Amino acid sequence: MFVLASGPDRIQTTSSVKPEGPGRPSGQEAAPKTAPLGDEAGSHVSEPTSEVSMLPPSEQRKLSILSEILESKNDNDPRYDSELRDFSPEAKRAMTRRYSDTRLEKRNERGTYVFLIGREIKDSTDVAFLQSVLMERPCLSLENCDRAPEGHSGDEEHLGAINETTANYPQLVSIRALRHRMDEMIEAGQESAPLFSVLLQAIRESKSSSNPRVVEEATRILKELKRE
Amino acid sequence: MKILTALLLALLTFSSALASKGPVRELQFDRDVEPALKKQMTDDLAFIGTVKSEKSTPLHQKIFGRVEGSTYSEWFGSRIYSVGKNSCGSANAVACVIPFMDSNKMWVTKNYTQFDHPQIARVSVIFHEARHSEVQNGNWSHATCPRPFRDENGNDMKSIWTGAVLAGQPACDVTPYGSYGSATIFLKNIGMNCANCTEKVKADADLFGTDQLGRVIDAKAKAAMNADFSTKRSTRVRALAIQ
Repeated sequence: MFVLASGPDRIQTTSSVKPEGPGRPSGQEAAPKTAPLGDEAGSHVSEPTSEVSMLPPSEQRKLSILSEILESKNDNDPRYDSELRDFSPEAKRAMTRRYSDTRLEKRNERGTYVFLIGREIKDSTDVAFLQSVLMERPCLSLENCDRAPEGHSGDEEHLGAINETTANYPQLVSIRALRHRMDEMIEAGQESAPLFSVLLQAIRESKSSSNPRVVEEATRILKELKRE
Repeated sequence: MKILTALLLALLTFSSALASKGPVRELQFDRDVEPALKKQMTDDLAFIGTVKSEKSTPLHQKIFGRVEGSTYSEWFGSRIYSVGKNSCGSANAVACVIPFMDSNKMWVTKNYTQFDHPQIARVSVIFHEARHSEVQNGNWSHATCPRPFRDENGNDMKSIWTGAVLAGQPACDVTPYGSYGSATIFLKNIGMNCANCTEKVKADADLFGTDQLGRVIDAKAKAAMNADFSTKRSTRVRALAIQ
């Protein structure tokens, strides 16, 4: 008897399947970096670029630490919380560039950039990046984002469910970050602030994402916030 | 009689925390497990072995004990003695157990390192699998998803991933104590209660825990788990003799 690893598949109802629609940001599709597994080239940038070299040493150091942690695959490195905070706008730009340069299949790595920017949403530029993540086409498999996994049996569902969550990881981190920031602003009585409107609009527009999971999450959030 | 039944049930439940309890020994890796994979799994187990918390939910205490590194190490180590390499019969699998071969052996695939899962997700997979090693609990076999398996709008529940209909497939659970349930409880407790985990680990644990909960299809089981995750029910745990 095989008893196989699994996690929950995300469930989608037949009526909510959406074809790829408009709204995908330019640039995200322009340089999709997919490569067979095992090709680690370009998975995360450690060599300094001209953009990074223009940053103050303190910001360069943060990006260097980030590269080191990503290489180690130790998500519990305490420097995530002690060092990788308070990024300057320029450092965030550098991170969004790294995000774009990271192979699509590196879901945790891409999601980590999203997480770090998402926990410090300060302006519409931050929101624009998070929204662009939501509008990406779905990653169809962890082996190759452009190709759906083989197998459609129940065993395959049992096996592959955690994979689907990871495939959607950058998007889930993004939408959770937007929601969290909104919750913070609601609690602080800042719903009339311009940033709140920007956050809300980003979630509303993500309902036109080609990723069904994003649509599902956005719909749920708007319903919970009574902002359909 | 009802009291007796309840006591017996409680005994069986608590026994699941002691199930397969043998001496905790060093995890053995087969020679065909690549060094990188062995290192990743060793590092992942080392990470979870450092977790600290003063809180744990009641269901967590029943299944694992405290939210605490040595508890997790002992729980896992008393169930899985060795690790080997196997495809697990699927290109998508990360790990599996094959009870008829060796109920205390976990098989891992290349995907353990090649798929870029967050670390706590990888740990949850091997904890899910370790639960399946409990022969005396029927390996916590998964339940068949109901026929029909529909959402509140009456539409068939389908995998977004493959488009396959889940009704009738062995891909659900009806108890908080099965592999999906226990992994959910584990993840949710890490997310809520880990005192020395990074914000990323805790956020990831909550995210993946929420997704795992979707596989528990029994309404009462799900309600019990949701109640368990309510922060008011996380209790400070003194040195309990749950061993």
